Amino acid sequence: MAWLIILSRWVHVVSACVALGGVFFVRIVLRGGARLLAPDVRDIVQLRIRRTFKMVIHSTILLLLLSGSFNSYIAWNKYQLNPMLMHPLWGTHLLLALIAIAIALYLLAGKTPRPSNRKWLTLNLIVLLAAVAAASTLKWARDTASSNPPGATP
Amino acid sequence: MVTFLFTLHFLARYLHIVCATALVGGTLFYEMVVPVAIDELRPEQQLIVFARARWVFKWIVWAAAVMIILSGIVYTTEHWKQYASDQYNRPELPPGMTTTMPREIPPGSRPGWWWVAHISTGTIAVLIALSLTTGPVPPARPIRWMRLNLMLLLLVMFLGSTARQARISELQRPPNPQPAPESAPQ
Repeated sequence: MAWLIILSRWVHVVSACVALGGVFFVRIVLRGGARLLAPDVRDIVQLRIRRTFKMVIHSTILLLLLSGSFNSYIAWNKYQLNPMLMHPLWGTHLLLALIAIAIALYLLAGKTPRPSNRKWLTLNLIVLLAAVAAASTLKWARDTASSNPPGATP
Repeated sequence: MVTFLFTLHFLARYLHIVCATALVGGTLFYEMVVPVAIDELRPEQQLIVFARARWVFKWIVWAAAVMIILSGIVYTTEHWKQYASDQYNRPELPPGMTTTMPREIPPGSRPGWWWVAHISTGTIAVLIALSLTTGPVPPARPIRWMRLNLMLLLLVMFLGSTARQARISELQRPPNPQPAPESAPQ
C-alpha cells in the first residue's frame, strides 16, 4: 500500500509540474522564442504548439483528478485531526484546481486560440500557483497534525 | 522567532515545488513539444526559435536552481533529526507513557537514505540543466541531454516522494511500549 501511496503522490506532483511548467513555458519562454519569427510563421508555430499542448494538458487533467481523488481518500482520516484548518485548505486547493482546469479547457477548446489567450494564460498561471500554495500549506498542516496527534502532547 | 521560522519553512516548501515545476515542465516542453511544433520550419527559423527560447529558459533554470538549493537546505534543516538518525525515538509520548525504547529503522524505510538518493540525483539533474543552458552555444545533441535530464528529474521527484513517505511513516508508527518494570522480590 505504501508504494501505491508514493506512486499516486508522484503522479500527482509530476502532472502538476507538467501542467504548471507547461503554462509557464508557453506564456513566458515560448513568447520570447517566437518573437523574431515572421507573424505568419509564428501563427503556424503557435497553432502546432497548441495542438501538442492540448494533448498534454488533457492527459494531465485526467491524471491529476485520478491521483488527487486517491490522495484525498487516503489522507481523509488525517484531515479529521484538525478539520478547522485542513478542510478549508483542502477545499481551497480543490476549488483553485477546478478553476484552473476549467480555464485550461476553455482556452484549448476549438481549433484556433481565443482572442484573449494571453490574459487567460496569465490568469491560469496565477491560479495554479495559488493552488500549489494551498496544497503546500495543507501538506504542512497534515504533517504537523500527524506528528502531534491530539492527546499526544505530554 | 517562531513566526519567522514558520514563514521560512512555509516559503521553502512552496518555492521548492514551484521551482521544480518550472524546471521539469520547462524541460519537458523544450524537449518534447517545441521540436514537434517547429519541425516544418526552415532550419534557420528553427535555430532562431531554439536560440531565443534557450536564452529565456537559461534565466529560469538558473533562478530555479538557486532557489531549489536554498529551499532544499531549509527543508533539510527542518527535518534533519529524522534524516540523520537510524534509530527513532518518538519525541512526544502518548498519555500515560513515560519513555520508549529506541527502535532501529529497517534500511529500506530510513528517510535519511532516501534523502541522500534524492539530493545526489537532484544535484546531478540541476548540474546537467545548468550546463545545457550555459555558454554561447548549446552542447552537441541537446535534445538527448534534455531527455536524459527529464528522466533524471522524474526520478528525483520519485525519491523525494519516497523520502517524505518514509519520514511520515516513522512519525506515525506507534512507539515501542515501555518494558514492564520487574517486580521486586518479596
